[in-house]
Parts: sequence; C-alpha cells; structure tokens
Amino acid sequence: MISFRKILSAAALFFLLFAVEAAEKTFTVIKDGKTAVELVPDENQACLEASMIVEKFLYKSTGKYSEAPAGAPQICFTIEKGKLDLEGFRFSFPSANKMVITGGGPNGVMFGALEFCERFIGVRFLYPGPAGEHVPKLKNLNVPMKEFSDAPVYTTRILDSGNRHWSRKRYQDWYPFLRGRAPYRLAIGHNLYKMFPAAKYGKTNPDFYPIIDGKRFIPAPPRLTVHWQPCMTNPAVVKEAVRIICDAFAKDPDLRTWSLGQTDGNGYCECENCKKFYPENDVPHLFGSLDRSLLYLQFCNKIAEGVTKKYPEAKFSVFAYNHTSIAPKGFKLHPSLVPVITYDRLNWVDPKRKAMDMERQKSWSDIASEVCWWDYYASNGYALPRITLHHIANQLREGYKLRVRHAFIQHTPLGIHEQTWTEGPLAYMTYKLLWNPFQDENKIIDDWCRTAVGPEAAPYLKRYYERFEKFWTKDMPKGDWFKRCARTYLIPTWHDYLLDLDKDFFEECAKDLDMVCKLAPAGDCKTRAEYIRFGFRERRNRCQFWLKNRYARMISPESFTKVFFEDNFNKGLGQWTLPPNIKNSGSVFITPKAGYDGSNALELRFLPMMNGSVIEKMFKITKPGTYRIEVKYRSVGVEKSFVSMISSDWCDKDGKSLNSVFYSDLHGRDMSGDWKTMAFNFTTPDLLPTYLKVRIGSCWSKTGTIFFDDFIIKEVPQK
Amino acid sequence: MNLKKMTAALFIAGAALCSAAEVYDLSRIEDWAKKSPLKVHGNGILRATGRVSLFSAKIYPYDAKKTYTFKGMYRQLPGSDSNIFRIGFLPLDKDKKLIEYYTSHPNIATETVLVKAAAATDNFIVIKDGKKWNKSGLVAYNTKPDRSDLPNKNIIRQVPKTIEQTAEGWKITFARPIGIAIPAGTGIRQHYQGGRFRFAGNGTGGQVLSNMQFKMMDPGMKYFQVIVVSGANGIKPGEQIPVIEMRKPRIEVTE
Ligand SMILES: [Zn+2]
Repeated sequence: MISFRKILSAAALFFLLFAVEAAEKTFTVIKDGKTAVELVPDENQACLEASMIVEKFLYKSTGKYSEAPAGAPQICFTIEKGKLDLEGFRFSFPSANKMVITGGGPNGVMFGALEFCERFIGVRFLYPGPAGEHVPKLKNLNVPMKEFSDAPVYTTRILDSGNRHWSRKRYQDWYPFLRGRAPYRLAIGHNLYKMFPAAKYGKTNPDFYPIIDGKRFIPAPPRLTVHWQPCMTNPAVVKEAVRIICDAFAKDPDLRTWSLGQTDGNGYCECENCKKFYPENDVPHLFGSLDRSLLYLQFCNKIAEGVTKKYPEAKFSVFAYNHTSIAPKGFKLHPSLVPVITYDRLNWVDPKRKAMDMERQKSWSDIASEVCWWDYYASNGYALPRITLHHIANQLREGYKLRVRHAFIQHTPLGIHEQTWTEGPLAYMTYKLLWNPFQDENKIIDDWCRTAVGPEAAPYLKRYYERFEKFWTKDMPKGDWFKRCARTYLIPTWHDYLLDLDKDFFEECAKDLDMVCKLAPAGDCKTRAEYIRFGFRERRNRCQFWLKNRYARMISPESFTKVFFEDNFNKGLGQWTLPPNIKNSGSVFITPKAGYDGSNALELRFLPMMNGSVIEKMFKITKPGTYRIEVKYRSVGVEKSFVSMISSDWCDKDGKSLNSVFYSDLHGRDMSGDWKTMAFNFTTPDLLPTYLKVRIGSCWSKTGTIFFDDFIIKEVPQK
Repeated sequence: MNLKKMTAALFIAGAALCSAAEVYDLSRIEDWAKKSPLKVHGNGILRATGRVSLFSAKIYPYDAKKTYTFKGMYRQLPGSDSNIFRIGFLPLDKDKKLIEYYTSHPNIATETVLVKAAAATDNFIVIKDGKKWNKSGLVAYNTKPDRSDLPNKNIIRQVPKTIEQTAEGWKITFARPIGIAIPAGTGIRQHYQGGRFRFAGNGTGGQVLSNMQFKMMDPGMKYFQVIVVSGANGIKPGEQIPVIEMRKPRIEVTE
C-alpha cells in the first residue's frame, strides 16, 4: 500500500520535475554573440518600427549586425485590436520556434518591443541623450517561454515639455522610450472657443453666443478667445458640437477623443434658460468663483450622449477649474466625460491644502468613471531641482484610488538655460509608475541608481536625491515662499524658497556626489556620475548666485559711487552691436537732440514688420564686486503691449551664455512720454574672469519708438 | 443573376476602376541597376548593407499632370540614430539627360537685364537691378521673365564676389572671367545651387517611410530614375552599419 506521505512526495517530485522542465524552456535570442532570431513584423508601420526597436538593441548588445540564418526561430510582431488594451501587449510562444509580440494597437506593439528590450536585454533609458542609454553587452540570451501580458494603468501619460524647440528636442526624443508616446488617449485644452469661432458663426448663428449684461456678446478682440462661453442651453449649439466632433472622428479613424474644455476665464451665458442652472444661492464657492458647473456639465453630457451614439468608445475632457471647480452633488455625469483637475500636488505636503483639494477631488471622483490630473513640475523654472520621488509615488497610488486614469504634467525639464539633466530618476520613475503605480518606487529608484553609477556608488546617489525630497517636503513648507504660493501652482521663479535651505545643504550634497564619482566604475558609470555632479554644481552655483544677488538688490543706489562704464550715446553706437543672429539694423538709430539733456539718444524704432530690436555689448569682469546698471528711457507713440528692456547675462569670451548663473532682466512699460529710469543691482559669479553681456532692447509694438540715454554701470568701491 | 453575384460583379467593376493606377514595380533585384548590392530577403523584401546609393534599372516617363507616390515601406536597420536614408529620383529632360539643379531653380527676385554688353574676358557684368542679388547663387543668362527658358543651361558657373551699385547700374564682379560674350539687354538672373537628387522622403533610424508623393520640382522633367540612399552621412569607425530595407517598393501613378 502506498502511504499518503509517499503520494505526497511523489506529487512534490512531479511538481518539482515539472517546475524544472518549465524553468528550462527557453527561447534563444542571442547565441555566441550573434543574433539567433529572425524578426518578422507584420506589414504595417507600427510593427515595422517595433521590430526595429528590438533589432537596434540586439545590435547594440551584440555589437555587430548579423542576419539570422534561414529557418532561424522567429519573433513576430503583430497587432490584434479589441482583445488587448490599445497600448497593452502580450508575449506568447505558440511553438518552440516562435515568439509573438502582440500589441493592442500601434503603441501597444511598440511598448511590447520596449518591454522586450528592458526585461530581457536589460536596456535602460535613464535620461535623455546617448549617455542615458544603458545596453548590456550579451553573449547569450535565452528568454523564458512564459506568456506575459501587460497594459497601462494610467492610460494618458504626458510629462509635457512645451512645443518643439531645439532646447527640448533631446527630451522629446527620449520620452517615447518611457511609453509617453503620442497619440494620447485624452485630448485636453481650451477648445470651445475654437469650435465656435465668431468668424464662422457670428453672423449666421448669433444665438450660439452668450447673453452678458443683458446683451448678446459676439466674441471680438480682445475677448476673442477668452471670457466667453457658448450659450450652453441652446439645443442648436449642442447639435452643431455633435456634428463637428462626429465629422472629425469620421475623417480620422484613430481620433476618438475630444476636448470640451471651456474658454478660459468667465463669460457664462446669462440667458433665462442658462440661469436656471445657476445655484440657488449664487455665491462664490470654496475656490472663490461663482459656480457654473451644473450649467457646463449638463451641456457636456448632451454632447457626449450625441457623439457616443455613433462612437461609443469616445472620451471627452472637461475642465474642473475656476467656475467649474467643484462637481454638483449627485449629478449623473456621462461616463465618457473625464474631468481634468488642475493642481500642483506638491501642495499636498500641507494637510490643509490637501484637504481642500480632496474636497474638490472627491466631488469629481464620486460622479466620474475616470478623472484626469493636470499637474505642475515646472522643472526648468526652479533653480533647485524639484525632486520629490516618494511624494509623487504616493500621490499616483492615491490617484488610482480616486479613479485618476489620465495624467498631464507640465514638466519642461529642459530649456535654453537648462541643458543638463539634474533631476535624476524623476521623469523615469514617474513614467514607470504611471504605467503601473503599484510598483515599489524604491526598486525603481535603486535600479536607476545602480544602472546609472554602479552598485557601490548607488546608495550615495540615492541619498543625494533623498536630500532634495526632504527639502521640498519637510523644510520648504515651513517657509514664507510656500505661504505666498497658496494657489493652483507654486511659483518657481520666485526663488526665495532658497532661503529655506539648511546652510550645509549644498556641502552635504557635494560630499555625496564626490563619493558617487569616486565609487563609480570607469566607463559609462563614471561618465554619468561626473555628469550628475556637473549638473549639481551648475545648479548650486545658480542658487548661490541668487542668494548673493538677493543681498545685492537691497543695496541702496547711493552706495554705487564708482563708475565702471558710461555711455550717453553722444559719440554714436561705439562698441554696441547687434546680436550675431540678428541681421536687420534698420531700426537702430543715434538720434540728435533726442537725449535727456538735449544731446544724442539711442533710438530703437518699431517697424511694422519687426517686433522690436536689440543691441548688446560685452564687458570683461575680472574682480568680484557688486554692480548696478541704470539706463533712462522714454517711449513715444508705442502700442500698449510694448516693452523696453535691459538685461545682463554672464557669458564666456565667445558670448555663449553660462548656465550656471542667473540671467537677469528688467522691463519698462512706462507710456507717459517722460524719461524714466530702469536699474538693477547684481554681483559677480564665483568663477572669474567672466564676461557680462548687456542688452538694451525693445519689443511687442509695431508703432512708435523708444529713446534710451545715459547708460551707466556703477560699482560699490572695494574697501 | 442573384443579388449576391450582382454585388460581387459590381465590386469587381469598381475595383477595376480604382486600380486604373499604373505601377512601376521596384520589388525585384532586376528592377535595380546591375551591380547594386541589393539582396532578396523574403517575399518582395530587398536589403542592402552599408553606405549605398541604389539606382533603378529603368528610366521612367514622367507626366506633370499625374501624381507619383512611393508605395511599400522603407526603413534603415538596425536603426542608427545619426544616419539618414533618403528615397527620391534623378530628374531627366526629354533627352534623358540629368537636369542639373542650377539650371532649373531660379531666384525669381533677381530677374533683371544686362545694361552693358559683357566680353568673355570680363570678370564682371553690369545689370539693371542687383538689389536682391547675393553671393551664393550662380548666374543664368538668356533668361525670360515668364521662366519659359527653364531648364536653362546658359550658366556662368561662378558666384558673385562683390555686388555694388554704380552710376551705370549694379556691378557684379567674379573671381575669374565670365568666359562668354553677352549682349546688352539680355535677360539675366541668379539660380540656386543644389544636389543632383530630388528626395520625396528622408528618414532616420527608427522611422519607417511610406506613401511619399512627389511632384515635378524641375521644369522640363520628362523622365526620372529612382534613387535610394542609405548611410548618407557616411559611417565613422565604431558606428552602426545601416541596412536599408525596402518592402514591396513601387511607384504608383495616379491621374
Ligand atoms: Zn444661454
């Protein structure tokens, strides 16, 4: 008789055998340093591009291009619409010689290819630029033959960078690798004014437009694109909106999302029908505006009903802000409507602000099937990198519970003056967590640090980033800057948050990064370590320069008694020149008798085809000191938008801007026709000698002229 | 005929109407010039490795009234980021001769006339209006303001060294004698310089190109030869070697 125990152990043995068998079943991708598979994409753009991603990183990993022999195992790339999420994918192994990467749509198959590279080859896209790419060199690669599928939790994942500009290109080329790739599944933005332009409907359908102060308001400048909404109870407006959207969807089979974002500002219709949807007690809500959410949402509901009859998969964004900040209680929101809630959620470090935001948030989460967050990292605005990794991770997990499935984050990590990546794993981790917020962020951060600088240096790098998080979540909230910034988003360009820094903050950071550089192994890791330290030093210098300048700004004008340079333009333009990239000199003049004392003045004349002009001059500065620039200006016949400007920028000898210190400028907008003075104080940066580039300029008018006179740079005499 | 058959017949008739487009097939090795490094890589898939310029074996007629579209798919493996590949053609005139870029791309704003006869040994010309002249364009003569002279092979293949306004007119000076006598009153203008190839599409590693339409870019184009360039930037040591791949390449000609 077989004992029970024996049965058990036989079962265990069988299970063990089976497990071993299962573990051993692998699919060979690289063998002896050569690609052992043939990549077979379906005949469409997305599959071809997906296969190229895999091909490229197999090539980078093996170091050579080798075509697999005939009859080699295949990796196929295909799209299967309907069964998988549009951006989801599946790995399957229908036979011993075949692996299939299936995408639910074009992005899905692309993300499947990226997952293959990350999971199996070990590729990492740490930060923008070639140094941020990590590709392990492999001799052999055997992939476990285990079916696997994945799909994003947040279906809209945008860490936005602003428009196409050379300074942002590196970032824009990078984020598709982190699955932040367009097309996005939720269209967001002010859109009603675009759908109902006065030029198109103003004459034929005046009833599309609102009654404001008892009169029909047909949009016209300066309120063409702000401060008006269509009449939201007019059935003809709804009908036309449905027609516009359905036409657009019919034209583009990939387009199934539309923004119903209201026009910025106020301007809600005051007709009798619309007024019925005003609250009975029409007083400002929690966030200070009159509540028009019921009026707006009943309108959006009707449009959604109309469109989804034909396109049930359609999704619409609606703005939850200003007059529609708080959702009406018990309202039945159409499931295709996605409210977009705008807030800088670093504010959550303050329990009171978080509670207030939650009141709004809950009102929407209660009635919407999906919510979108609009958030602000505003990275290139901050001198001190705003790195708050755990705060963001917690926030995204909390968002999931609140039905947030779409994220639009104003990120802008790079700009003209911010070309060094200083935020480490911030964007990387955020993208990973948007895909799946239930991952342990520590694992992501550790992996990022280890890959970037090697296992020995990684703990110091992680500690370095934790210092920033401690500052932004613990120290900063106690300061005045945070108090002053009690609004939708914190203001990055008021740099006085720097006053809340511990006095040894930079020193401690520097120590960490010195260790990172010391411990990082030679090669890519060392290169990255030094790049990270370089970025830190650049930002530290900027911060310290701001702190120094802050004291300089308080120095009274009388203290600047020594003249460093002066020019009353009586001898012509002298060494003032046009910036190298500007060719047209047609608007720069030295004008006799136009000056402050009746002598010559510099004149920058506005021309209809030019939007202003500028001249510049470089000064070599060899000694540390505190300076003041002054110039008199007088505007004549200019448009209201005009600006006269002086700026100072620190440069190398070729005039190339040093990003490590602040650019300062000052605008004058006086239109009285009298002489006014623009002036500001500043100190020299730490590294000397350096070059100060001063510019005098004019912009934003097509008519009139600006006279400048008595330009002077003064300094505080050295004791 | 039952309804099913009838609709099927209608469909076929419709299909026949739609497929009136003429197709220049480029998907076989023999569609490309001899000695091309192309290799067949599956059904209708051609590949070539390294820095290559591929020319079609045939020269195709061109009708300015029709639309020409590169169909199929084109990509560069394994996807070098820096290397560019281009799909295009060589423009040929009625004698199947290459139309040089500088014979057919006028700078219209420079159209003027010679105010003083020029001798072959002169290193300058005097023209009526040189306000819009620049130091990068070549000089065409016997030009007509309606541009019916294009492509115009009467070219002084020099760029102006100096451009100055004088009492007689605008004096354009060159480095060397102009080499041809031109009577006063002759039409004259500057022409842009450019390469021999006209491209319908450019891609980098990671991009797939398809559906590239092209139209006449050169007056007088009556024929063209297809050209595909890969690794156009050259390949530096240690850089990835590009592999151009064309899947069912062809040109569709539609009315
Ligand atoms: Zn109304």
